[in-house]
Amino acid sequence: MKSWIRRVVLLALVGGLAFLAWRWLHPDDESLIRTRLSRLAGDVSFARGEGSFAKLSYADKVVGHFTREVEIALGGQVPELAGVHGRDQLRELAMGARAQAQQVKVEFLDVKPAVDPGGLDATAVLTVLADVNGEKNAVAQELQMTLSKTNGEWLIRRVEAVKTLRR
Amino acid sequence: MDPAAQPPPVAEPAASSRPAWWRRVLYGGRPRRTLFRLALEVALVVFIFKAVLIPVRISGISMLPSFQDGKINFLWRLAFTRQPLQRGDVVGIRYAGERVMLLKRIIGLPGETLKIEEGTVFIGGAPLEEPYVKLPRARWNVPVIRLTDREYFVIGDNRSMGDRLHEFGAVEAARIVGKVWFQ
Repeated sequence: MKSWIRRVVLLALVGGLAFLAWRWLHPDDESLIRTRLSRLAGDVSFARGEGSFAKLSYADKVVGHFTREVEIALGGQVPELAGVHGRDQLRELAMGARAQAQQVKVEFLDVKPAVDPGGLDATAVLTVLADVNGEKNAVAQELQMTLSKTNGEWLIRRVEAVKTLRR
Repeated sequence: MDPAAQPPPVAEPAASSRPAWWRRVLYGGRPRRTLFRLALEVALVVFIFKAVLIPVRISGISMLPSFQDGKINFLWRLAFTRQPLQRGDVVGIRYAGERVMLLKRIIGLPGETLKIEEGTVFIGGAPLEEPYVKLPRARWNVPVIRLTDREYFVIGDNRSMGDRLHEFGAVEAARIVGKVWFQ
């Protein structure tokens, strides 16, 4: 390979790595929102036979992703989540769900965040896919989440179901 | 230098100038060309499976018995470029994106009026013949719905379950991703 080509390739590689490092150190708001939602999916999920400490901290971990005045309006496939207002109600619900279900695996797919021009509010459209007690794809639903940036952190303020099919 | 002192010329074996046979089998006589061809083929396959023919794995029982749970099929994206969607077509409907989709059959076309009475579908007042519904029908009742110019009415073939357990209804044309390849 000619030496100038080698130099250009090397330069492009170094530039690419530097860009990735910069993005990793200074993630943009959309990346932060994706990370928040990915963590939420991980925290909502639980496997069979988890220890008591994990069970106790479950609800606190889950509500930590939401604002104090969170509103959840899902209904449909998850009627328990038809009208949740505030972290306390959400905590109770999370504890109840954790006690009843043996195994839940949640994934947020096709996450599309959009940050408002002000940079303090955002919406994210996504598909939630959940396996419950071993039943594959027991829940599949499109959601729209509204997020607010509070003290530098993106927290979920509202969750609502998007109707894919109208009856 | 005395020419007599030079070592006699040695004939190199022909095999050493050519790549070993296993290399020829693995990436041909011209590795660069093979690499380029491989990259092109990978790009082509990715393009086809993303933009033209999307592979899908069917999950669930709502399309029984026409489409079995766990089977692989393909969605043909270009199905609507030559002719519009027709009643009876089985299509993929996206949620937020295309990683999870609904697989449903079109029974109502844009602008039509539709209702379901005791499990029978009526289009504009006339009952719809549905040979693909082979399992016994539950007695679903859906009040009259008028589709807009950009909506289709989609439903599964398995009507044996309760209507609350079955996702069906009017869908925006923009959400329809493609038509099922193997019907």
